[in-house]
Amino acid sequence: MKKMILTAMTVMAMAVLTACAQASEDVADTVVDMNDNVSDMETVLGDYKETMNNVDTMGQNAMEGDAAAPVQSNNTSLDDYVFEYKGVKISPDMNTNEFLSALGDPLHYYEVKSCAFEGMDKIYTYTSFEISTYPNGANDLVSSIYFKDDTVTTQEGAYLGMAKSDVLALYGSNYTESAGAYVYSKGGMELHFIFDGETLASIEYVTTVLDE
Amino acid sequence: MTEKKKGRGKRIVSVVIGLVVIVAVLALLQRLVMPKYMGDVKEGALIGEYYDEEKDFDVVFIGDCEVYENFVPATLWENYGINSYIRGSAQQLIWQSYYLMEETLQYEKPDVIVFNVLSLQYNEPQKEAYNRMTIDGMRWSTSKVGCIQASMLESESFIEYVFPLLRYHDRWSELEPEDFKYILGAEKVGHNGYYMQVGVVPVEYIPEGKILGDYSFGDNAWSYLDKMVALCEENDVELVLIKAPSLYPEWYEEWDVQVEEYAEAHNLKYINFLEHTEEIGLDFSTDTYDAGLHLNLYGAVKLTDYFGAWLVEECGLEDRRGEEELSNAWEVKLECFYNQKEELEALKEEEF
Repeated sequence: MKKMILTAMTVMAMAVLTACAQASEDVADTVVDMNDNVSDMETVLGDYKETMNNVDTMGQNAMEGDAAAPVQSNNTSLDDYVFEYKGVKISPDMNTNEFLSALGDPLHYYEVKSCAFEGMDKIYTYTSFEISTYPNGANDLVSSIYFKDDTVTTQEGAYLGMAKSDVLALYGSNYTESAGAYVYSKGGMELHFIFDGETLASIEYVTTVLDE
Repeated sequence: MTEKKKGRGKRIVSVVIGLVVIVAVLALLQRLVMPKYMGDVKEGALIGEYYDEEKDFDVVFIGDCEVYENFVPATLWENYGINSYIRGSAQQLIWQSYYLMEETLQYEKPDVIVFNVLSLQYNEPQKEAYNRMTIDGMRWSTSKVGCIQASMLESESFIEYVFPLLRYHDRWSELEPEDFKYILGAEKVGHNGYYMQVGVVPVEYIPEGKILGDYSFGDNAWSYLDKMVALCEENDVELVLIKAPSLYPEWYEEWDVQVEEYAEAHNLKYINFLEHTEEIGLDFSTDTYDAGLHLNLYGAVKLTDYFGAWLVEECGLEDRRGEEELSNAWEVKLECFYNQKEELEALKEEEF
């Protein structure tokens, strides 16, 4: 009888754990890893880490002379909407190591600890734009690029104060509306336009990695 | 009784014992792999601590980090004899606040429930990690079921809340010493729900709020505030709306106007403490531990003292320091409170 009980216990435990493992595989692509969420933002974005290592490698290649090597991830790439400032290309989810030194010192720097997660969200404020980041292990990745005045433009030519009709002529009608913003999606990022009447009032490049 | 019947009885007993052992082992496994929130992220342990309390509170705070980091029940007791508790959790969304309120009212009927309105900005579920930090600590009840259903993201499933082992099992390979140490119970984190911080990081710069496409709070968020109002009316509890004096993230003027109008229409009291920082005596060069998001203990004591006077004046709360049993309970709590204050301040000194 003892053997029977032990066997039953073992079989049930294995069945549960096996079922769990199967369930885990099914949801792994879509569900945030709770353990990682709790312990470290790095592992919240666990799948993303490998991607950013690739970004690092490609960035290193670029710095070593292979300038043509594209910096890209499975979420965004320089083929997506990209902000360019004084020859420095920046896109959501890029590692800040790739471009911060080239931008020079920001006017202001602010960092905030999340209510719950380890690591710091950082905000670098420059004269004409603001870059926000989220932690990914030892790295900081771009969560958004927000325009502050009309001296900077998107690569396609949009700037604050531009007429709505001109913006739509540049970007077309393939947008969705979300919370009052016109959202153009490409790869793993979004470009948000907010209009004040017929005038462009806000431009922001945003990652979608943090949406869930 | 025949030998045959005796043998059958023994087998039944053995099978029952076996099943009990299996369930116990699985329960233990579940406890082992569930996050204990005893490391750097302790906020997830706050919600569950309420159940150990003698539930006879005059004031219950409900809301996100802006309540559990900014208000100090120990100060309300010491200065005004108000017995209070904070049912706060990280990024607590308004439907979670509603269900926590509903659950709280099953246990007790406080005179006042204080709700921090920052979460009105969220109209839909945000992140599973935050959901878990509020929901996993709740005891099973219809309120918890409602809270889960209102909070789940598409990628979540109800069964994983019922059996957290299904969700956390893959932590087995990353278990840490704290998982074993606290398998049978965690250490207490809060002081009547207050999470103490004694660091000082002065405010030097606050980023401007970004322009929003729509400043209106969403229908779902409003509907839960409506439910809170109705629930408090049914239970004869005064609902007070507050906005804590956190400088970041932005609390837009457009948001404030909507809350003011709602409060007026529903005959509720609303205080935006951002408009009272001077009266409170807050000094953001010394009273915040994270550059303006939350107050440290010194700032929180100032804010709480100000609010205590307001509660007495506006809500007519009475001084209960004359109640022997309650006073004795608070004596123990205050000792614990000041011991931790000393420990944290000593640690801070060491760091410098």
